[in-house]
Amino acid sequence: MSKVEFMSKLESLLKVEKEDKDSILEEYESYFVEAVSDGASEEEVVRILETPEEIAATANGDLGTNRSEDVRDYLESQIEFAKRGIENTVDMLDVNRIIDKTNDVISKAVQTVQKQNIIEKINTKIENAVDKLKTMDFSGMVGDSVDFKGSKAEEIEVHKDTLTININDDNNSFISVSVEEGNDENKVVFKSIPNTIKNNITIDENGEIIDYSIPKSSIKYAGRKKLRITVPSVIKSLTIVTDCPLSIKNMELTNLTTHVGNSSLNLTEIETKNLDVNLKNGPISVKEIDTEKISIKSGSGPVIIREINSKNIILDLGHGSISIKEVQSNDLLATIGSGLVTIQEIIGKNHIYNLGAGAKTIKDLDIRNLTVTSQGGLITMKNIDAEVLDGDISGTLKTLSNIDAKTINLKK
Amino acid sequence: MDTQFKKGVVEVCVLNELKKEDTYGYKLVKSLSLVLEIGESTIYTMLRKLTNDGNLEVYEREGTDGPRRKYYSLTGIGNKRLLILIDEWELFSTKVNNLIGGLENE
Repeated sequence: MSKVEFMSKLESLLKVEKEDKDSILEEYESYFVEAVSDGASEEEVVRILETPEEIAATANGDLGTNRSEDVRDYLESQIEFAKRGIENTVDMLDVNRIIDKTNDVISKAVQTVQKQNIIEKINTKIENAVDKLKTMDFSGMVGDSVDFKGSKAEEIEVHKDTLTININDDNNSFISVSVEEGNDENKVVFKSIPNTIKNNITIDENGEIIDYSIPKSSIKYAGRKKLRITVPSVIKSLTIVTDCPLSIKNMELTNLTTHVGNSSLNLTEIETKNLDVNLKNGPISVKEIDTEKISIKSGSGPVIIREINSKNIILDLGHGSISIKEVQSNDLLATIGSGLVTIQEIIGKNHIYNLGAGAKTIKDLDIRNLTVTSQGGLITMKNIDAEVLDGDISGTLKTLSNIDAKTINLKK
Repeated sequence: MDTQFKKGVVEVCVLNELKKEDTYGYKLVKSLSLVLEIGESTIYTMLRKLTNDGNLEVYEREGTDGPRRKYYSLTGIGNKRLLILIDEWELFSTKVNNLIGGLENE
């Protein structure tokens, strides 16, 4: 294959955004120039490089949009939604009853023409109803804005400064939530990436509206990419309930609560009084949190907790790889299942760690009253500075070093 | 080696190389692809992805010993990202080493 054929084939196979495509083609052009100046022939370069199919598979996989597939899914979901609406409308019109009555009338009528006219009128009524539905439900074709008002499915509730977002039964969405400063219009903005669906929810001057809701089908489509929700800074209490991967970054508010299903959760740079984190199963990352009280509850899955400053911390974590680092807290109660556990660089007054089986490493702790219990497995404790150290790590393989405590009641 | 695992390694290696000095795609491919046993497309795609995410900046420079080249440089975000990845890598490797090596019983 010649260079020209190689580049032409690669260009035709790349299904990525134009900027990404141009950049990758430019890199391969440069590769040819550099390799040829190093003494290779163009044919040799083609042999050294991956095939255009292999290159396209890598690039399309990591940078691709699969836009056509998403558009098809979206249209199919809209058609399904419209079908349900048509069924409801048909029920509403009680067509069967009308037809029965009509048949009664017709049976009494002598002329066939009369029957035909009435059936045509009914058909026209149904067609008008269907057209009305089409006008209403298909207004959100790709590229247009969608008015979700009056639709049924997922509910958004705003009461004063409290917002609850409930998006369930969808395994395809990725949701990110952030605050929009200076949003004086009190709008909750839903925006899918790329810009296929947009919707604004307006809150009145009393902070109360929200008769809005979003159909699952639209969320599902939007979520294939990413659904970005920005809330106005007036919101002080935010609750997110979803089965989708959820990411919340850079928010300052009084209460933040998350209930996530079997998915993943990422919280970063949150300043709040009360943070209540719940995840059924899956990975959790909680970083850069400044709060008065934090509770993290998870069934199983890897957990990363970093840079937490809180007066009171409660951790109830299931099995999985757990890493807790750079935490400052007066009171901490941790109940952790089996798995690889690292607890490092922790400062506080009263901390209790109830650990399951598995390999545990506890190091660089400065805690006034420290209690550690272990249900077996391995434990490494080093660089521990405490006034009182107690607990029970009997039945666990131990490596203890540099333990500095005035009173040690640790059962070994 | 697992593909996803390799991609994670590629990301940290690319960022680390660019922490040392600004460089261009061909040079990065030459230095990394043999060591990591990966195709050049993985590196080019990673460069693009890191640029899109704000971890890298691109500029053009006249080469002293070659043609005009597109250079990549690490941004502040990229530097922060590198530190996080190194931190996570050390944590991960420590755990695996502990698991493989075992721990002494007191």
